[in-house]
Amino acid sequence: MKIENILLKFLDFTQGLYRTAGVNYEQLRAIVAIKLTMDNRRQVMSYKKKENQEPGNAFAMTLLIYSIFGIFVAAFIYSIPSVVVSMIFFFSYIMVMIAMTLITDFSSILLDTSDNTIILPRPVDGRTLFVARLTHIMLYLGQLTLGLSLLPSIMVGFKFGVLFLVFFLVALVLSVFTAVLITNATYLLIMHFASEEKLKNVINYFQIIMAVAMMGGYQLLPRMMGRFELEDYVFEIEWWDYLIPPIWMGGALELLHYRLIDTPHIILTALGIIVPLGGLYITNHYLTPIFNKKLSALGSATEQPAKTKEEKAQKSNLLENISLRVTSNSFERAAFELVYKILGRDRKIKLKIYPAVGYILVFGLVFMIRGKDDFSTLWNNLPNTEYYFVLIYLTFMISQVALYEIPYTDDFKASWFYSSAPVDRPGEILSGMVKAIFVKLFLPIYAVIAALILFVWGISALDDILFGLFNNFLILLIIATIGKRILPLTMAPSAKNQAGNFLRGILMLLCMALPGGLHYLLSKWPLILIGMIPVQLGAIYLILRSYKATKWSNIQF
Amino acid sequence: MSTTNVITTQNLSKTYSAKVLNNINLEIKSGEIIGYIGPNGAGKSTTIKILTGIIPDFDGDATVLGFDIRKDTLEIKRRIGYIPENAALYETLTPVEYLHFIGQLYSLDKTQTETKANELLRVFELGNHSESRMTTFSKGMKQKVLLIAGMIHNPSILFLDEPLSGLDANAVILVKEILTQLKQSGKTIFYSSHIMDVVEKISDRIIIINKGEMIANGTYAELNSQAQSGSLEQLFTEITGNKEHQSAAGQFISILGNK
Repeated sequence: MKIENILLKFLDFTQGLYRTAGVNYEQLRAIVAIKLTMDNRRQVMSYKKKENQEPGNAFAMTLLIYSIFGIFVAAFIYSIPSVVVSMIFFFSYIMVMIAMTLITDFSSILLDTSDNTIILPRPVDGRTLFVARLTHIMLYLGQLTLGLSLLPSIMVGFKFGVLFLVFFLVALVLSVFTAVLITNATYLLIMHFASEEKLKNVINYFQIIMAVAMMGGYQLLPRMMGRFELEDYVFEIEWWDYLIPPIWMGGALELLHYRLIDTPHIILTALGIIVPLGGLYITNHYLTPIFNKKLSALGSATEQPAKTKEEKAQKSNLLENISLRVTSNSFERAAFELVYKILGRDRKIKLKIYPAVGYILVFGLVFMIRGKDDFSTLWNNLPNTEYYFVLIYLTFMISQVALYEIPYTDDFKASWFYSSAPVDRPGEILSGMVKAIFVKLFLPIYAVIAALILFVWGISALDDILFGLFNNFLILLIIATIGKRILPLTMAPSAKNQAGNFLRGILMLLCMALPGGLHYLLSKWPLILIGMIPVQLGAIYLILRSYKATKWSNIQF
Repeated sequence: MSTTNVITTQNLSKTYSAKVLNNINLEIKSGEIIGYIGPNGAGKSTTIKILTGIIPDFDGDATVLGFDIRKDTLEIKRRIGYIPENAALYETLTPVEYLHFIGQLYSLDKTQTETKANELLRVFELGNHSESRMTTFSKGMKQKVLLIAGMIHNPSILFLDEPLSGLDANAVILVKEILTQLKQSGKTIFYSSHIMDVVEKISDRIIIINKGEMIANGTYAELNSQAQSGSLEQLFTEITGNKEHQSAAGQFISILGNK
């Protein structure tokens, strides 16, 4: 039996409740059923497999993945001796996951205005529609929470006993409420100040953070496992702890477990109970009407206040200035400006490329954390290491991901102009694209990394930073030259060859090996390193020239 | 044919940040086909959304089928059909699933809705697509599903907002014929559009609005004699004071030649 049918059977059990509340149950059931069906057919952004493959049970997939995460979390709970630390960890996990999922996968439903035109003209009263939407969200969150916390709950029952498990489950429900409230309030706040377009941008950034957090958690959690075991960790409550919801729940459970009845614990417990319940009341009575009103306004075209001419002029002047300096003719300039703008605006492309920024951060930490040293020891030892090499070449990830993703877009049909315009040297477009990736994405991040390196290793690392900068561009060019030559924004996402990922990684490492190795060998002699820069520039010039000379016959379509 | 008014409005007005509807007074009789014409942003969709009970707050009074729109919204909604303009439907569903869902909202019998839906889809030449998801549908195909969804409960008044957009020539003729025959069976049709062509041929009466104001109301012949010109399109441009098409086209051509 499908999950939807089980949920609807469950709903049928409670229909008396709905009827007494004055809701048309048949209509409510129809609305909830159709929404559950649509949930399952919706592409879940984070775990999309193949774009052209119709998802059958996308939501079940998500649940399965969350359950697997649950194994890690359960193991983590087992490994931490302190009740309060393990509970704070668990509730942070739950609340973050719920809030993030609400924002990333559910915002499309929360902000859906098609109900306005599809259901409102039908004989459905406002109350039924509102309760149906609420029920839908509750069912969704219920399943999600179940998936996230099933294994951890079993672990809690096993480790702390059944009575504790009961309290734990109550706290679980309360923390889900809290997460929903915080998300709701955040939405309202953003919608109050920002336009629909801005809201979509904010959601886009949350999706990017979500992707990084998943990856980061996966990489970092196992490494952090050992840290809490040995130390006899004592949790001391500071004033700011009262502001962090997971700590309320942790504190409340500690109070119940050890019968620790003192003022801080009582305050934490009270907050943990009062905030979600009080918040629920406030949301129901005051915020939901505002939210619905804002929502019904979303669909109607509200004109965005246009940016002032000066702002616009300044922005385009900057871009023009850059593009005039780095490009040599109008084809190359056109491609540079197009790719530069798309990289800053297209939400789908951003969602694919920008997580790489986060991965750089995550891997930067992963490679740094070795053995059982704590963070401050590692940090203090840093100047004695040659870790800056890792940082310099780790930054390359962003260029590599962008180069891989930039040919693909949903609007690939818009690329008809490449064939209809008199473009005789498509290589110019390719070189404009590579330059735009380097300038728009790589340089800003490299600047931050360079500042960090200068801060830790001092001015003596400057030669490495310079050499590394040119090396990074050289490697990008080599990879672009060796790889498939595809014009920017010309391919359907479904044309992407997923199988090549591993090979691509190997190829990238090989391409990095020679320039990077040279850098490593020469780094003992700063003068030689600086002396090599003209050689680098020469190599860049030659490769760029041949890349620019790419003919139509070498371009993939 | 009866002569009772099925739609009446008195000083119907609506203000968002600016006034979008200003004192609209309508009297529409049972069995009429009304062409409701105006340029983009004239207030056509807003009028329809008020009359169908989608926008609940407005100024003035309005009744549909004798019911007060503010008080008896549900009674009205049960008896009218609405076909929105921008192909809003749940695309991940199949047409049959969607129509079944809509039927449930009117408490129609399940098997009856499904047979009806399948037959209607077949008439619209969507029979082969009745079980495939609408994500892959063209605009015209979605419009056909919307038309069915708006009429499946056999309403006595039909509100149509640009119902022909995206339809191919054959489907346009079919829909025109359907509307004419619906009128003959006593249904009232409120047809909103900015395209003159079809309206001219099927409407009993044409109402023209511009910037929220009603500026003309009468049969095509009446309006025609007022404006003394051949096609409704030209008449329309005269009434809305939009005589600049020729000079705009001239400018367009001359700018193309600029160096």
